[in-house]
Amino acid sequence: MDLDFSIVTRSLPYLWQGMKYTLQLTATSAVGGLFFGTLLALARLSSNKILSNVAAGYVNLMRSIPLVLVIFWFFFLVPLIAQGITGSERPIQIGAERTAIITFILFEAAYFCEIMRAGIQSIPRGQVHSAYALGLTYGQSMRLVILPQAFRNMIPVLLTQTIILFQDTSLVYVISATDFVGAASKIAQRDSRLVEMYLFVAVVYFVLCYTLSYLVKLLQKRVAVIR
Amino acid sequence: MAMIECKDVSKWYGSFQVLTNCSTTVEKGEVIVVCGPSGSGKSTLIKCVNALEPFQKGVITVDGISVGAPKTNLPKLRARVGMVFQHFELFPHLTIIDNLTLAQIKVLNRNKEGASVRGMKLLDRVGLTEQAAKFPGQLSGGQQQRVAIARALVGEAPIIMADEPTGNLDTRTSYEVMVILQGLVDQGKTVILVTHEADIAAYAARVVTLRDGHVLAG
Repeated sequence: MDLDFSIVTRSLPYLWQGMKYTLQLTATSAVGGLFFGTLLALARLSSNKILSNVAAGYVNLMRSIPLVLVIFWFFFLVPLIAQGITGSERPIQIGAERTAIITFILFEAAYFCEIMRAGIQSIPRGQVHSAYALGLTYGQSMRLVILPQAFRNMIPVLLTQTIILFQDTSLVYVISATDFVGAASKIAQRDSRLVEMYLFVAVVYFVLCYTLSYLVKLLQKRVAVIR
Repeated sequence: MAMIECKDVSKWYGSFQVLTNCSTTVEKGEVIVVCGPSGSGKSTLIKCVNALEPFQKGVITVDGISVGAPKTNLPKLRARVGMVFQHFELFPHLTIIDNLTLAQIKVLNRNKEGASVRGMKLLDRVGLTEQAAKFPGQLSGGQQQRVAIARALVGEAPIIMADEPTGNLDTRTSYEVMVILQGLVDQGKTVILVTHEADIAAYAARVVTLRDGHVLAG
């Protein structure tokens, strides 16, 4: 087999553009997912049955559908819904990049919600009583006492979920967004160098994900000592 | 005037009745011990007093304020009742001094400096000023309970309730904790101690005995 890896070095600037988009999408989705996931977790733990059931329904729905389908549906369906609402003549296009960000936040929020919920429930009930007994309100107790402790417990799981998210972002190829895999794929097909490019992509993903997983493991030990 | 009044208080966990028509009164400056075997409802009763647990029937008033009334400002009411727990329940992610200043800043709206001064004064009272920068996990059980008592005093609450305050401590440390609690009684605070230890009951002017959710005496 005639392999020519010089294609990789020649394409590095373009690949870096793709990687930058992948990292941006991962970071934005992680932050947004964490924010909405926290709100969803609080809603799921709420004593208000309607709020709790709506949040549970959303989480179960998102966790039961493959991510690639969510991206597809959002990309094709939302423009039609927006057209119906606004009465526009044509479907209102959201664009591949915005679709990717919104769907990843919506999807990740469901997973982060479950991590947050487990984290909050891992804090002993006595801590909640102790916070209330001092006169703190529900909001203050959550913000100052429960969530800081829960976050510390959850950091390793949250980071692991973010690594999975980093890998999942490659699915944006289905809506033609150019992430790292998308950039590599375009070059591979243009120059007929599929093996070299996909091998390079696999190595990059492996090195990054393995290193991050190793760091998470180290962090896990450190957090265990603090506790 | 009664500081705390419980009248026909009943509470259920699902279909299980944990308190049945419990009535008792605690006068201002009085020290009482609530005792009874495990599962008799004594901890639940005092948690109902500062609304940490809801109750379904009866009336509880604290310093003239009805605990169960929908319009009662519970955080404000709870700030008037210092609470000490069996498992200390200090906040493990905060230093000792931060444990003591949190409620002062967030509930009593004191500034950080004033809260710190008050916190250090209370730590001095329980003999733990040198531990101010440490985290709860770095202290012994007895030290943590002394911090918990100091924390219950930050708001100068007129009522102190302690749920099995010596339940997790050895005899000598228990004695030290009881000396501190006795000091609060001497200052005119109303103190309610929950315990199933007979020697702790000896500190009280009056003993309220619970069994199977019923007040037997007191």
